Amino acid sequence: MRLQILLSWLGQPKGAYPDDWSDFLDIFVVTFCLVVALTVLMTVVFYAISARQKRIHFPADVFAAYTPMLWLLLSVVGGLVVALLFNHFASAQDYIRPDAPPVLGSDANDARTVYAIYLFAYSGALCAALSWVLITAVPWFTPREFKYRPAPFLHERKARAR
Amino acid sequence: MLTLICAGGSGARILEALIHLCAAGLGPTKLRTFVIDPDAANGNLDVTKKLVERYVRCRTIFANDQFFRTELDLIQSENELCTWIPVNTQQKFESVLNYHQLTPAQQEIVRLLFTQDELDMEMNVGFRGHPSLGAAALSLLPIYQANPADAFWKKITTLIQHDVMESEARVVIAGSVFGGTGASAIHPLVRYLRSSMAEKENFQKLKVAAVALVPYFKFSSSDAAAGAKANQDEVVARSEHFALAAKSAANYYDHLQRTKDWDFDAMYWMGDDTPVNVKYCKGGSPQQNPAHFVELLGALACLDFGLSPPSQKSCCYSGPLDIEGLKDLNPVTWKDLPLGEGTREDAQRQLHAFHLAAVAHQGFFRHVFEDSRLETQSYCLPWYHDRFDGGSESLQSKESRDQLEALRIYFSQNYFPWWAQIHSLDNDRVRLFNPAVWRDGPDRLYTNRLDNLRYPDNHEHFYDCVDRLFAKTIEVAPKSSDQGSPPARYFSILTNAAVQLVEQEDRAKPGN
Repeated sequence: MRLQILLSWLGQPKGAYPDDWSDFLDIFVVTFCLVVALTVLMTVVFYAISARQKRIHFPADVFAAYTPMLWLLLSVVGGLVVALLFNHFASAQDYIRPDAPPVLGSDANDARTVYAIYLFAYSGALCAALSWVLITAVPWFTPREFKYRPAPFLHERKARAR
Repeated sequence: MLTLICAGGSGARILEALIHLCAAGLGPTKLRTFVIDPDAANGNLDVTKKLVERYVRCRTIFANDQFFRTELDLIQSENELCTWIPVNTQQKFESVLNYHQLTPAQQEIVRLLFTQDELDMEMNVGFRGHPSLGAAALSLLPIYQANPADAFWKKITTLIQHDVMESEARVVIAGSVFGGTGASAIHPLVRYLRSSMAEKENFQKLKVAAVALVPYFKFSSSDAAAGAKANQDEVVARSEHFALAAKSAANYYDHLQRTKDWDFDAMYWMGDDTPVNVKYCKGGSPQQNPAHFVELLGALACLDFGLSPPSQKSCCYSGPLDIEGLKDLNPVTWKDLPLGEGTREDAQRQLHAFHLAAVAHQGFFRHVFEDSRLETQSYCLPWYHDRFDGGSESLQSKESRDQLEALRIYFSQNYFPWWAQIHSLDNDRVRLFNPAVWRDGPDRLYTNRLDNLRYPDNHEHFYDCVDRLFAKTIEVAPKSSDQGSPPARYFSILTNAAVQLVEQEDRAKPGN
């Protein structure tokens, strides 16, 4: 399955049956994609609402922190959900033995926990990156008065050159 | 071209009001103006002189097709209001008449017309409410014109003749008819202007109007008496004589009209039924009366005549109209402005938009430009990031700061104090703008009333109106002028946003 490429780095742990592992990934990658898509969608929608609700009332508000971007932190929740689901499926089907040897260069003994942590970081980062790209690339999500705020570093050079 | 001749302190106050209207974009394309005042040190005149200087500076920087449009022709200088003094301030009145060189018979006539106190009066602070003195002095205008040492009147006459040849010369003489200089200047001036054009071609293209203010302020007689005693001076202006003087003037002009000797194309009479109390002052720099709405009405009358002089000779009157249920109070509302129906709405919208821009600049954008983060985080203000490239294009460069300071000084020292004085009459009598906006002074404006700048003050206020203005500046910025200095471009964005917001607000009103 093509989507498996998203989790190709998730190598088969020792002690797992290759076919079982492959089947597991087929199912899990769909779950993974759904969670990531849902998280991205929620992040972007909440961001758009929040950006529209943001008001400039006083001169200092012009330069105040751009709080709608905090919705990117929703990616942490997305990553957490992915990690928990992985842990749940993996333990329920017993794909990875609890005494499986270390994976991905980790010293940890518990391969499932290590995979879960990596998945948490990976899916969280993926959600944040996708959300940010969408927010930055689609002008509709950001009101005109804040159009440069989602990616200030892209505009800082001009500002610094002043 | 419109020429405004301001006679005396009240004339100067009308000019002050007119300059504010010109700043708000209501003035003509070009306005020629000067002041006639024997009391050149008069505080009222000083305020107007400073205002003219500031207006010229602001116009040089910020003029666009909406605001600061009117170019001032100050005759003898680029930015200094010219004051013509009809008498030598060092002399006594008898010297003005050359009394000691007159024949005994002529001296007898002079003594018939003037008291000894008047003949002995020093000319250093004007005619002190004695129009007979001023009229005598100003009747000598043709002599002044012929005097090669005094080129002023020759120049004025040439300029007006040039206007007449080109298209049409519209001249307004503004002043009070209950004081000294104004009352004495109006008729001699119009006679002089008519006579100087009498033998010229197109003489009928000279249109002359007078804006005559009748008593709208008073001071206590005891103060005046005390002032006179302190100055060892018997000849002082007395406000209890104002009504009588105004009545005499009205009778006189009525007589001229009945005897077909009325040289005006229009005469505008302005006044108030409740004169405001002001501090007595003999003259000189301490004489600084607060601005009054009658002067605003006078300035609007000047504009009305400048825009479209009446086709027939006419007299116009203006004062607050009665409002149902408020007959005793007689408040001044937008409907009392002496303008045509459509013109009044346009004028109201224009004044509102300028007021909005003034409050937004003074209460919001000025502080944004003072923030040190503006250059390093320019992306926080998208139109600034897009249209101002930093360096000499910055709003924080020294030159830009100086230019923005000119605007701040105008708003803070002239514009808002003037509106505050206009609205300072008791019982909220003036109901044009919302005075709550500037109740803590011109440097601490309440920007939460940006959507409630017109009278009355609503009970609830939110700062969302600031956000709407900010968003509007972003919206209009791409279509705004990119000509001129950075502050001029900023002002163009701000004023476009203000104009559009006011139009939106008007459209949203029920019935529109």
